[in-house]
Amino acid sequence: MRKYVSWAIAIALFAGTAAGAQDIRTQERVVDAAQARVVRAQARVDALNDSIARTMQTFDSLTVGPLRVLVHPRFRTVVEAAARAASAKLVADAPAQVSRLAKVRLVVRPWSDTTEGGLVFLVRPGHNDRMEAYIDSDSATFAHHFVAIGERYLASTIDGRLRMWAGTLLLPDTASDRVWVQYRVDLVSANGVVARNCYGGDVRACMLTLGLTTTTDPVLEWYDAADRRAIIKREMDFRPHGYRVQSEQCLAGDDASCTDVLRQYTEYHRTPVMSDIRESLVSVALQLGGASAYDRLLVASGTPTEQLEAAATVPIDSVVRAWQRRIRDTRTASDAMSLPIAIGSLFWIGLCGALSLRSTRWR
Amino acid sequence: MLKAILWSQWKPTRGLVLITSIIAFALPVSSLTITSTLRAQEVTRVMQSYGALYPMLAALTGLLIAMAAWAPDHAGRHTYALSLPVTRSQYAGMRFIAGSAFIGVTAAALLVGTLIVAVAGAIPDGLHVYPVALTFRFALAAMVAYAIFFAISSSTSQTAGVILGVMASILLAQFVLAMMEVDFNLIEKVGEFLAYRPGLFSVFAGRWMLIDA
Amino acid sequence: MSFAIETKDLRYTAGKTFQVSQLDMHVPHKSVYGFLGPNGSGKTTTIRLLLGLLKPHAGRVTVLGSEMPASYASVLARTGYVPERPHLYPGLTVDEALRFHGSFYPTWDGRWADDLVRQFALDRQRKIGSLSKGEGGKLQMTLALAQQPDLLVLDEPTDGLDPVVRRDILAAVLQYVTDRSATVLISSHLVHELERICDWVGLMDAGRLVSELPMQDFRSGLKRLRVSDAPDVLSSAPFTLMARDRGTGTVEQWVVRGWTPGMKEYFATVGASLREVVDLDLEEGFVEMLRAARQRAG
Repeated sequence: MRKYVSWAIAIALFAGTAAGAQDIRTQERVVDAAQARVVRAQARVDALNDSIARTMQTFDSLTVGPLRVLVHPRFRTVVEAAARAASAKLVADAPAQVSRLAKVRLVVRPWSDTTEGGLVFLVRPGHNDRMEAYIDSDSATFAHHFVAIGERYLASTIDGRLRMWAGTLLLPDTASDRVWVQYRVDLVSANGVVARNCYGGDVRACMLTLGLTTTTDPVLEWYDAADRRAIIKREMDFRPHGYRVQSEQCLAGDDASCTDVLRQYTEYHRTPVMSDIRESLVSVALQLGGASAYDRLLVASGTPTEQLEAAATVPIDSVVRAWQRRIRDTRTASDAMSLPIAIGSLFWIGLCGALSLRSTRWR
Repeated sequence: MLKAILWSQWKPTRGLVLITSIIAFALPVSSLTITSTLRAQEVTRVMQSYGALYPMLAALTGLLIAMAAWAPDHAGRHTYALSLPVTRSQYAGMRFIAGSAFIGVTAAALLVGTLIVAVAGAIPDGLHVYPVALTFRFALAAMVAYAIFFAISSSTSQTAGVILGVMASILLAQFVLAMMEVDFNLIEKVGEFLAYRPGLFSVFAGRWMLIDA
Repeated sequence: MSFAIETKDLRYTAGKTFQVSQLDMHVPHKSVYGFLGPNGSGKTTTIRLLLGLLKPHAGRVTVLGSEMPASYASVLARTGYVPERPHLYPGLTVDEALRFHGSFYPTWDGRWADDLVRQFALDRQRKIGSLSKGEGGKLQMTLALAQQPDLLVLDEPTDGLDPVVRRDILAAVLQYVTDRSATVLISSHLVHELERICDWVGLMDAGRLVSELPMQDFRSGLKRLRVSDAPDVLSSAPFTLMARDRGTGTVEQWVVRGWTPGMKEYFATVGASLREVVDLDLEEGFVEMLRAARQRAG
């Protein structure tokens, strides 16, 4: 019996090894095939780049300030004017750091032989990424795209921690008044007391609201008992079957139940208000820092607080207080009434009134 | 003459004015009773839902007062008005002015209600009350509705037929475009023109917020 | 003679079939002009054309020296109008209607209005909509008279009213005419009613003014004659032969207009015999004139 078992085991081992060997070879063939495809794709990319490079050898080369542009002769005149305008704008925004743009190449070529528009794309040596845009071939449009590409390139070099904190591209231009209005609305109508206290003037609350200081327990630090109860009440409408018993206890006045349930709703743990409000703080820091604030931001490093202080050249408390003032000073023009509405209405009233005066006698 | 027309128009209209004024007063006051214990987010939400009621009331007020303005003349086929020694335009103008005055009564009731909210309401920090702006817009919206329906009421049935014909033509044109598979929404374009600046109904569109950020 | 109302070749078409055509009307100043005609003959339409409530398709209308409908506002300021159907605002009280109406007329006499209200025994606090037909008619007359018009236009003012009310209204009209020497245009199909008060009469039928003449001529010159042995064709008759009924025997019945007693001699000249001259009352004359007009038109 032991002999038969031993032979069975030996046969099984041998078969398994053979099968495994076969599987390995199959996998090796799969890998080889994939590698071959990569090589062929790379060859195609290289051939394309070679083709582009050969084509671009016939292009004109322009250097206007920090911008280096390869341009098809057809567009030379308008692109030269556009590059001058764009260069002026970019130099004004980041005078010290704008020279980084020399590392990139803007290429302007025709979209096709038959269309009038041009294709602009950005090439960075050693990178395969491109930003492309098809645009009409007038100077203003080219200039707009040059500026946009330049700003985005520079903004992408900002320290990653600040970029991750802000969650958005940090361009030198400040937020528009309309956006500030929305931020203010977001703040005063936020779910949590921390945001409302921030609006009320509490700097520490603002540091929490803006994510400049870490939060250990958002459920307790961002929301008070009334907030928690209000959230649970609202969530019961959307999730009638979720945590039903505890939710009802919460509504009956048991804050511990409110806390427990709210800990399960993780979407309330991310930020007290929408994170794009943080862009407005960067905007204030740049304003406080003056002309070369953006330059400093481009080279700053450290925590978001440290980078903002470097840009603004004042402590973060001052930046936050300036931001608070700006938020409170922003007041929406009432949607309830506006001059265009009044003028338009008076026009229609007058028109209809005049028509009614023409009421005929003949009936 | 204007005083006489005011009085003769007031008699059939006063009931309507009373009802619309009561509603106009009650709307903001009732919103106050709901929002007095709410936080900013909930207050703005409540105001948004109430915001749909103000333009409806304005349109209704304008419509009813315009119809009441001409009702006695329609009943008598305009014979009395046409036999009075005033030009038709003078007569229509006096009727128009009289109706406008009645709209002012309803708007005044709304103003009182909104001022009560402004004075007595516990408005959450960061929000503001806009009693005058809201009332002014209400008055304008009611006047626009009044002017439209007043003009239609003062016209002959032929003119009303022309208006209906224009509306039917738009529908027919849209149908023809659809049959020809032309990708152009005429009704939507007409609606956009009417609803947005400087459209006829733009005053009714948008946010009607008594309390806002 | 000057005319308070004058039309020349007035034309108007209502609907598909009814027409006022070639209307030449002359209402002398300070006269009481009776506008006679059967129902549907166009009296109300003509009145509405005169007052600028309808726009004529052709022709000219002159009222109190001004062209209509161009000068309607100034003409209506001097014209009192009582329409066929009541047109006042039913929601107003009698008192409110007086104040409303009076505000439009600078010549409004409030005291006289009050007198008329008392005379007509109208309740000032009653709504117009709750007045009876007679009371409504009286109110309309009060409003028209109290504005002291130069021209009073009454469209079937007593239609459907009881005799007492009719008498009151007509008495008020007569009083006004006596006091003010105003011009009155009064339309009716009740011929006997107008006989007492009118000094001119216009006869309307099927949209045409068939005849227009002083009441005296209408009353005295219209006769029925019984004639025998008359020739088929009459030559140079001194009167207007309106109708000739040959009958079955030798005696014919004629209706003539413009008769005077001296015309008896005519029959001998044509070899005919005049058997009898019969007076026609206004109503019979009205009927005969209508019949003659329809025969001519037909």
